[in-house]
Amino acid sequence: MNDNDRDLILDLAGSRLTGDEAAAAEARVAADPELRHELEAQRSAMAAIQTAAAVEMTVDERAYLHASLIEQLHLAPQAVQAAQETRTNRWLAPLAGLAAVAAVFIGALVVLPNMSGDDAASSAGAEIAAADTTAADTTKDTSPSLAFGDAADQESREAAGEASGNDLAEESATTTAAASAPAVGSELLVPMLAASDVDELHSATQQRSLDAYATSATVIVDEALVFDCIAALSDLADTTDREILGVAENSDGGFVTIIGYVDIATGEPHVASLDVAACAMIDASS
Amino acid sequence: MTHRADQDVDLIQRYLEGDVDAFAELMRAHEDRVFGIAMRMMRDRDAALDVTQDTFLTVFRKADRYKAEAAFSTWLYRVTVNTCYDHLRRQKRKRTEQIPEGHDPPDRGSASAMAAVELRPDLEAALMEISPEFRAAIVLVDMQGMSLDQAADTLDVPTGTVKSRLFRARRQLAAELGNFSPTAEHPNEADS
Repeated sequence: MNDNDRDLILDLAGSRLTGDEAAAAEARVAADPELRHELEAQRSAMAAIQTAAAVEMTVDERAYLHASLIEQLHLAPQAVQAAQETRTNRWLAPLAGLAAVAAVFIGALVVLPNMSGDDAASSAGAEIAAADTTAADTTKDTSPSLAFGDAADQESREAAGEASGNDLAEESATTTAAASAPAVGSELLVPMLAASDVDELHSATQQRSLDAYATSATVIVDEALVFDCIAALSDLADTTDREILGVAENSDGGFVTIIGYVDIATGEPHVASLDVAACAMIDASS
Repeated sequence: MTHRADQDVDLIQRYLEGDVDAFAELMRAHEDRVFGIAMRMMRDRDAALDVTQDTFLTVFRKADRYKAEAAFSTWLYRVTVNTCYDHLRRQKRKRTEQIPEGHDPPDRGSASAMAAVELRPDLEAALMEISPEFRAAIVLVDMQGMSLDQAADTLDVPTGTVKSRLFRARRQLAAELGNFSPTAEHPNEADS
């Protein structure tokens, strides 16, 4: 069966043909057992799909979603502003993020031992939220609150917001644990890359063509450790197709892990270098 | 552009100028469809809710990158599908890491039975047998009612690729449901 036959069947199944066109197509399909068989399959699948009920969020799910977004997007105008500022100074954002994570970690060490149960979880969530403020932007908070739905939903939103706060705390605890967890043994062999400077790799690897820099040497990296670090870095939150491209020596003699990823929003590929031991992003291609 | 698309462009502009309520209005207009796509892609309500949340977080963070040449909804649903792909990859990786050698495969019916999508169980299971890229074609065209061109824009692939994926996905679905005996050609092979 060729593409024309496939398109004919798709058009027939989707009722996109009318009048003479449809009649001619039906006749052609009726005369060919294979096409008839294919059309029946398409129609049976579509009929099955039509039995599916519409999907809707429940009241609780909607409340949870809104509350959790209100909590996480509370910094709305600053975050947009920060994204614009980051383009002019790419070195400050990772440092601010690192400082924020350190502040949270230190804060949690100081505060958590003196608390218990839910109090501790809520506090950790608040610490993370406060640190995110620092990381996103250092300007004062002038953002208006998001307002979803009407006032009647307020109570359920507040209830959901409480749950969301706990979830955030749990997530932050997991992230901290993952970032400091020992290797789990998922070893991956990657090329050792040679370049005069990591910046050179960034500028040359927009399309992930690292071949020119690959040496005959290979290095074993702990894949799980790298991905745990990636998961802990907010700069890489909205990315997909992440892969470890190699390891390179930095200008200070340390080693950096070069990763590639795709920005979910734009679909554009990027390259970044990580200091996995410190779990810090050194730089990323623009 | 349609009235809705014009409204969306206006709301995005207002949001970028600092009107956060505009983003809330955008959310209200699109959250059900985003959740619907996520549910059909992920099968699990909790996972779908996570995808919905991550999608809006991404769109929020990258709102300044939205280019008004394409409808906001196209961009939003593209982010939704990409976020689903990402979550599915992570799920797969997590499962791979967690399952020791010689371990029996998990019972697909038990783990998320309470959170399963409102589909016939056989249809739900059949859908999950289809690769995410092919499933997305069915979700967008047959479940969300997009045209082939709209689905192509959303998936950022040529219309011919959507046709190929849709055709093969439906064929595999029919086969999984026992309504079709596939020939030698495998539905999950590369796009034509």
